[in-house]
Amino acid sequence: MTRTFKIGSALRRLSLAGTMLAALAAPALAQRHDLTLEERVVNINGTDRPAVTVNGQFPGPLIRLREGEEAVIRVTNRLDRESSIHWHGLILPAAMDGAPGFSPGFSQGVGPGQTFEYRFPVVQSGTYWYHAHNLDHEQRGLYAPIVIDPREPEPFRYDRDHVVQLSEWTDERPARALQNLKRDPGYYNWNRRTLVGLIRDLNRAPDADARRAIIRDRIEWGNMRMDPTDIADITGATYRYLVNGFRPETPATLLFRPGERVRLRLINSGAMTYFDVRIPGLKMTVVQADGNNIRPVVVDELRIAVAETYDVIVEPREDRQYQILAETMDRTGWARARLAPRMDAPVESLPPHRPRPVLTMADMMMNPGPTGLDRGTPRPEHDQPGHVWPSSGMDHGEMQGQPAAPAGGAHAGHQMPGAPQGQPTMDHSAMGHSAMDHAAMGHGAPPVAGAHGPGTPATTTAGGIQAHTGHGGMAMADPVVHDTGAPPGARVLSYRDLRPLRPDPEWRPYDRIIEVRLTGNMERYIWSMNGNEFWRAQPIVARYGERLRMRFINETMMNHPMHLHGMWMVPDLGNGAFNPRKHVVNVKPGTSLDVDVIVDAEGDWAFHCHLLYHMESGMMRVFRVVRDGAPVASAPRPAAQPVTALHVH
Amino acid sequence: MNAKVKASKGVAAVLLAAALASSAAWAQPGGGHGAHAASGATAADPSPAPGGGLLAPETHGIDARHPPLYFGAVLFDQNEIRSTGRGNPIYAWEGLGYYGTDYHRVWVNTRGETNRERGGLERAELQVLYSRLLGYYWDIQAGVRHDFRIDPHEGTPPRTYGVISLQGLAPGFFEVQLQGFVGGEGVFLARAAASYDLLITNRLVLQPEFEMNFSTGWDREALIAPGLYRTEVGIRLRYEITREFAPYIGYSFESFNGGATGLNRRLGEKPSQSTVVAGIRLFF
Repeated sequence: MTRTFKIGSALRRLSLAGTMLAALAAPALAQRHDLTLEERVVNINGTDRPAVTVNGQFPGPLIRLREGEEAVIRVTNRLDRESSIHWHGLILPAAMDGAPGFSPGFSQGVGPGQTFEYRFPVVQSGTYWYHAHNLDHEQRGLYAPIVIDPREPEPFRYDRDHVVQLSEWTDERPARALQNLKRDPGYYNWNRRTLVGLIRDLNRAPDADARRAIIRDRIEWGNMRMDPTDIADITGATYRYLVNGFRPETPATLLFRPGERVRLRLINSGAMTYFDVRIPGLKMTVVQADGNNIRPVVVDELRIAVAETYDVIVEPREDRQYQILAETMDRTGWARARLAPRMDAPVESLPPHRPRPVLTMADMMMNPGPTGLDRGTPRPEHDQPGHVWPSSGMDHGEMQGQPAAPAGGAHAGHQMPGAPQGQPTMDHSAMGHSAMDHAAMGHGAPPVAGAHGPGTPATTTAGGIQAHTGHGGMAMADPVVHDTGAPPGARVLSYRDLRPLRPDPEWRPYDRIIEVRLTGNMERYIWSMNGNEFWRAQPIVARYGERLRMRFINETMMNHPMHLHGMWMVPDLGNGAFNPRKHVVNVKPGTSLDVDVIVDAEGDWAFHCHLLYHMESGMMRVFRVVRDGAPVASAPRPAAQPVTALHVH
Repeated sequence: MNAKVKASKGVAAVLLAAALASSAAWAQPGGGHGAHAASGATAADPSPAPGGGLLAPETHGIDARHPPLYFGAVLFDQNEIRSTGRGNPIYAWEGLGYYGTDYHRVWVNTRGETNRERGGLERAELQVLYSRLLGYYWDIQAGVRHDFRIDPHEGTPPRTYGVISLQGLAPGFFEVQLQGFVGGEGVFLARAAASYDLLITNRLVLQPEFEMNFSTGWDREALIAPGLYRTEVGIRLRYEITREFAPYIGYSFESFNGGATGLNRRLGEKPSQSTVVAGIRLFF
C-alpha cells in the first residue's frame, strides 16, 4: 500500500518534472547514443582499403529513436581530420544539423580527437539516415540508418522490420574519383555510343527512314556535343554496389516466415547512384516516403533517388527466397539482398541487366526561363562562363560556332515549339530582388501546375529506337515519371502516387517563387545553381514563416536529387494539401518542377544536390532563413546547446 | 633577347614542374568539407556564437568555407616512335598539362622530336599559357611559345613568340585548337589543329587529326614561308586499356608547303615524309 503510494508520488513528481521540461520545450526522456568515428580497413574487392567506420562498423550502426523524446548523441572523432554527422531529413535546430560551415557553432565540424554532443528533440517518425557531410568520409562508409518509432501506432501493420540500405563502394579515394571526373567527365563511362553500335542499330532498323533517323540522331548529339549515354557519372567501372554493406555476390539475408508482412526500409545512401528496385514475385506496398506516411500504394518497381527513403511492405507467402534487386539506373551493376526463410539458402544468380537507358532529345528540351537571376538573393548574380549551354536545346539544328553566350542572354533567342516564351527579356540589374514576384510577372511558359509536361517517360531503353522521337512532335519529359524498363503492365512508383494520409495542415498557396536553375557543364564537370558554384554564390535568403516556391529548372542532362536541410520540401504534383513532404526531391533532366518550402526554421541551412560529386563541385547553396524586419541577431537560441569540443582524455 | 629567352625558359620550367606536381598536390586525403572548413578556419569563424550563422558577413567573391577545387592533368596524346621504313626511327611527342581551377589554369603545350641521324633532340617546342574558360566548350589562352635550338650548328634557330590561342570542342565533337603567334622576326604565324575520337568500341578509338601552319611572311632560317607552309595529317588507332594507358599504332604524313618546300630542299631534306607510328598515349 505504502509502496504503491510511493510509486504514485514518484510518478507524480516525474510527471511534474515532465511538465516542466515540456514547458521548456524539451522532451521528457533522453535517448543516449555514443558514436565513434574511426578509420578501419575493409576489404570489399579483394584489397584492403581504408573505410570510415562508426563504432567499428561499416556501414555505421542503426540509431533507433522515439518520437517526442530527446536525442543525445555524442560523436567522437578518432579520424585524422575534421568530420561531421548530418541527420538526414531530421527537423532540428540549425546548430544540431551537423553541416560544417552552415550550422552555427559547427563551422569546422568535429575536429580530430574531439567529441561533439548533438542534442535535439525528436519531432517526427519514420525512416531516415545519417551520414558525414563531406564527400570523402561519406563515400568511404560513414552512413547508417535512423529509425524513429512514432508516438502513435503506425497506420499500417507489419510483423517484421528490415533495413535495406543501398550504397556503393569504390577502392579509389573519393578525391581521386572527383579529379578523374574533372579531367574527363566520361572517365567512368565505358558504354558510350560506338561505331559498332551504330552498325548494329542500322542493321536492326526496319527501313530506310529508321536508318536515316538513327544517323540524324547521331549527328544531332554530336552537334550538341552531348553524350546521350551519360546516365551516371560514376559507374560500375569502379563502384561495387552494396546492401547493408554486402556485395551482391554475398548478399545480405533478411529473414521472414512465409505469410508475414515484412516492412522494408529502403534507404539510398549511395553517393551517386540511382537504383531501380524490384522484388520479383512480390508486390511492394509503399507506406512511407522520406519518413512520412502516405496512402498505401501497390507497385511493382520503384526508382529511389540518391538520399531518398521509401518504406514498403511485402508479403512473401511462399517458403522460398525472394531477391530484392536494385539495379543501377545506368545498368552497370546490381545491389541486392534477399528475403529468405533461412540464412543458409543458396545464393541465386542475378538476372541479366535491362537495356541501358539512353537520353533522348526530349531530355534535352530546355525549359524556358530567363537566365542570370537568382531571385531571393541579396544581389542578382550573373551566370559564370561555361555554365549555360550556348544553345537552348531546341535550336540544335542550327548550332553556331559562337563559343560563349553572353551572360544573362543565353535564352533570349530560344525557340520552343508549343511552349511560347512568355517572358520578355529582362533587365536584371534594374530589378530589385525583393520586388521580384515571379507569379505576378505572367511567366507564360511553365504553367503553375507544378510538374510540367505530358506523360511520356523521359528515357527510352534500347539503343537507337529513340531516334524516332526526332523533333517537332516531341513531347516534353514528364518530370516525375520514371522509365525503369519495367515490363508492360508493371506499375512503377511516381511522385504523384505519394499522397499523405492526412491533408497537410500547413498547406496554403505559396507566397513567392524563386527560380532555381540547375546548371552545369558536363564537359568540365562543373555543377552549379543559377550558373554559380557554391563558393561564389550568394545565399538564398528566405523569410521566416513564408511558403517559398522553388521553381526548379533542370538545364542539365542529369537527374539531381535536391536536398534541403532543416525544412520540408513539398513538390507540387497538383494534389494541393495532398502533396507529399520530402527531404529530397529529384529533378529529372530537362524538366521543371515546382517545390514549396515550408520556411519554419531560422538559420543557415545547406541546400544542395545530393549527388556528392555534384555537391563537391559546387551544386550547393546557403539557404538562409531570416525573420522579416527583425534584426537577424534576435534569432532564438537553439533549444539545446552543444557541448562543443569536449576533449576526450 | 637572350635574357628574355632564358627568363621564359625558367618560368616555363617552374610552371611545368607545378603542372606535373599537380596530381600529387591534389591527391591529398579528404577533399570534403572538412578540408574546406579547415582552410576557412584561418579567417574569422563565421559563427562564433550560437545563432551566429546569421551574423556571418556577407560573402563577396570566393567563399572561404568552400574554395574552388584545384586540379590538374597531363596528357601525352602523341608519345611515339616514327619510322619511314628507312634509317633510324625517331621519337616524337606532343602533349599538354594544366593545373588550376575550372576557370583559370596554367596550361603547358609541348611537342618535339629526335634527330634521325644523331639521336638527340631535333626540335622542341614549349608553350606556357594562361588559360581561361570562355564558354561552355572553349578556353582562351595567352602566353609564350619557345622553340628551342638544340644543336648550336644545325637545325632551326631558337624563336620566341607571344601566343594567343582558342581551344575547345567544336560541334560534332571535334577537338579544335586555333593559335596565333607573334614573333620577333616580324612575322605572324597561325596554327589550326583539329582531331576527332571515333569510338569503334568503347576501348578501340580511331583518332584522325590534322594541323596546318600559316605565316604572313618569310623566316627562312626557321623554314617558314608565307601562306600555308607546313601541314601534318595523322591517324592513330588506340586501345584504351585504361583511360591513363592506351597503346596505339598509326600513320602520319608531314609536309612543307609553298615556299617552305624550297627552303627544305636547300637543306637537302625532303619536303614531305610519311611515317608509320607506334606509341602509348598517356593521361594522368
